[in-house]
Amino acid sequence: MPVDELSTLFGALADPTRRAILARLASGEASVTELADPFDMSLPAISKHLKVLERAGLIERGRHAQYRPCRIRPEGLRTASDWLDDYRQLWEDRFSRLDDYLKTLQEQGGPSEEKDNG
Amino acid sequence: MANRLSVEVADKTLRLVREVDAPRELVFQAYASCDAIKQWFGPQPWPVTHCEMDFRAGGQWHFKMTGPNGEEGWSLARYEEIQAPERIVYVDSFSDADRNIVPPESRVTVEFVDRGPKKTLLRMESVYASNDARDQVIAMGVEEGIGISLDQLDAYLAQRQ
Repeated sequence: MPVDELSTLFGALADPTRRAILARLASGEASVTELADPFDMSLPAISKHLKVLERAGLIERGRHAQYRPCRIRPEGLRTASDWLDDYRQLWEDRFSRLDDYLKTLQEQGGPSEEKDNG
Repeated sequence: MANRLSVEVADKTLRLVREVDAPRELVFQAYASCDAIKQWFGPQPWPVTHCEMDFRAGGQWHFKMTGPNGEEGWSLARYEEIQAPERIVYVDSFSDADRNIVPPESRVTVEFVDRGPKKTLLRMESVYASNDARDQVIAMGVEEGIGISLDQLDAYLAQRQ
């Protein structure tokens, strides 16, 4: 996935209202009106959020002209979490080595006095 | 069982938070010398194979990680602030062997929070100029982790600039 698409994805997920919309859609599809109600927001405001989510591939909308139910796209969410999982893995690996290193130091009773050169 | 790592993606920001079972002074020292860095900073298939560090505000840390197929990844950090044993601030980027910077840059703040005689909370926050730059680094972290050649990475970067 190109980086700008990834940014769109994380940008969409960064907003608390949009995360709440996703949480609501996780329990089943809903129309814009149904979504606007619990969030106490105007229809245009909700529509704007939905457009961002749709562009990020996190939701999809039905094709009927009047009633266009929104539903979650699980593969969109999975993409975000896959990218982050790999980044997380890199740092988990680092920190687990840090754990081992610090454990060894503590068993030895302190850091070594070796000189730093290349 | 390893301590839980929290990874947060915020506006132009990547934040890592993790508890470490060691006194703060010792954790700080793990960032403060090449000897220490070589022991842990290279991810599994990418050990740190070259390291020079001038650990003071205004100083630089220049290091190389070598991949499973002999690929080289250089990085350069320029220290802005060092407050032992609580805080290190540096501007971080990829680089070449001659310390020329390869974007994107980020300002990294490492904080060491004392949580008891053998507990330290480690927070690393990297702030980028844009969300694109941030996500580029997420993507690169992925490639480093699985050891894809840096040539591909260069091509990828060239295409992004």
